[in-house]
Amino acid sequence: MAIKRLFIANRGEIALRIVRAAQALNMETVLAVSDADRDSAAARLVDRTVVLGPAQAARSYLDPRLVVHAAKASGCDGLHPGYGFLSERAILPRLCAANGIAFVGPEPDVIESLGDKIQARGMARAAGVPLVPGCDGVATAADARREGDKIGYPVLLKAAAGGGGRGMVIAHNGDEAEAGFHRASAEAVAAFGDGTLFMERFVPEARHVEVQLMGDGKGQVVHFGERDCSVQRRYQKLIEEAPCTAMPDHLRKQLHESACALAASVNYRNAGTCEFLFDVKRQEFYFIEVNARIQVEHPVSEMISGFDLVQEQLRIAGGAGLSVTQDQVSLTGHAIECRINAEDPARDFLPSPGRITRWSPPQGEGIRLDSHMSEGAMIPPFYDSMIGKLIVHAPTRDAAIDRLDAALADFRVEGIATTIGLHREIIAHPDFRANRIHTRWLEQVLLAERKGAAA
Amino acid sequence: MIEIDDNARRAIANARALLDTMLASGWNEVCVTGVEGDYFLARQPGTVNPLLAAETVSVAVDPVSVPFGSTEIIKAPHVGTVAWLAEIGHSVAEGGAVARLTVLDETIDIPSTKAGTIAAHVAQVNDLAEFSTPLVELAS
Repeated sequence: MAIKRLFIANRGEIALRIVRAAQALNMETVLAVSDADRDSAAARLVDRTVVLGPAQAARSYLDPRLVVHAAKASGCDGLHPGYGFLSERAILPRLCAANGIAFVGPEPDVIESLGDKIQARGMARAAGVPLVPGCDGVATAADARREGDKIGYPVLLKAAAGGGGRGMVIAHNGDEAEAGFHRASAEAVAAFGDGTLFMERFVPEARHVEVQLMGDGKGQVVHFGERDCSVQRRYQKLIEEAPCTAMPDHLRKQLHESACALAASVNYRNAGTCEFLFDVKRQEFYFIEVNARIQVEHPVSEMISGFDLVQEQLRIAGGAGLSVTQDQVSLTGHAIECRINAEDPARDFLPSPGRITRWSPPQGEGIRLDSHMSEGAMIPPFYDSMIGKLIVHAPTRDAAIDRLDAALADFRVEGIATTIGLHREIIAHPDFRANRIHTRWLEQVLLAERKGAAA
Repeated sequence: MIEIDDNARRAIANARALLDTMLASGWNEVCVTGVEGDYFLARQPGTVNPLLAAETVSVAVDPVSVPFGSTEIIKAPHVGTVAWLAEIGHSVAEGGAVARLTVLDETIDIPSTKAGTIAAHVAQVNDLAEFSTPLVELAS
């Protein structure tokens, strides 16, 4: 049965995005807020807010019992968790089910098994999805050389018993693999009492590529193309694009098929993203993980497909099937998203909470801004520092970069420090224009050059 | 003279930024946990530091209360449905239950911040009390 009254268990721009999608589908909306968010943009738009607890997330947004109690007591029959907070905690859909509330997301068992790295890898292997080549149980130096030759260098040797980077060695050839075995194994014995090693291919310059999926929970899955999220700092994505123009069509087809096969094999329900590492040199991709939720960067997929993913999430949670077949999904042009954070790149990305004294966003054809900010808005220091996402769409990647540059130049924010200037530097860099980037590019190249210039 | 390194300088800058935000917003307390460290700031007369407080399940650790003339208003420490309120005229000791909230199938007693007499009910049984909703008025 279609959801009549939706509870939104999140904050910031995604809460606003979900409220608008629900209202477009004529649903009533109830928003969970903390004491610090009583006056947020989403709070002003909903039919009702419920103040869960104090500003501290652990005592408001992160308490699944408070969230579900508030949803039930306010008469909601559906709950959207957004991203972050409780979105991938199986307890939330379990409590929803026990209290007669439709959860906008996958089944709790699916969330749990995909959230476990070892189980998820097993599921990917069973569905025929490529994993990073490697092997378990390397017991001698001769084994290390033989396996290294088979896997292809460089390889990473690490302790089978432990983690945390201890006993880890990178080998670029057979001799280094043998020498590396002795060193890593000795460290592993000292640290864990077990010298058995695990080996896998090391990809020094990889791209992060992911496929947007939507499943009906009965084995039907459609994809909305892939996104390239290789501009990252400390594993946090800063810029996302769709499609990944660095990937040839035949590989792209395999990537989509792999992601859909994995999702279909677990009867995946609702929105999800299958993440891969793309080894450009070898022209191979490997499974990383599945994110069982809507993601921050979903707008770039919406821009190239012209399809509202959040509305589809709400329809599916209400019991409807997929509203499109794969043949009906057509992807056109190129989209780029910048995550605008209230951080100061000149001061090692120090968060910059405070009051926005000027907010003048860009407007125009092919420009979309997903933000909960406005002039006079206060950025509380309790949560993540993202204040908005600027998304552009144009016929080609080059045209999209030009459009993004003009939009960023027009974007005026005062009162706080932001990453707008850094985004302009990134997209103006010759490596970005030539699409020669990888997941460590921002830190190894651009930020290193910046530091060098400042010294 | 104390040597201050970059980390300490950053921690001080963070604390200053948090203090500015707290003063500008009118909040009584700011509690931030992050990778670079945890911060807790509170205005006079201060309150329990949640970073040091032990987790409890069945009793609210810090019921919100505000002085109101010679009486005090006890407020809900989190969202919950009002299941019971202590009778008007009833005497309570400090820490004694003045109200009970249910959260799903769990009941939570809201303790009094000081000894006194229940002067009035501000909330009604079966109300959905949100965080900081006044529950009872306590005369001391």
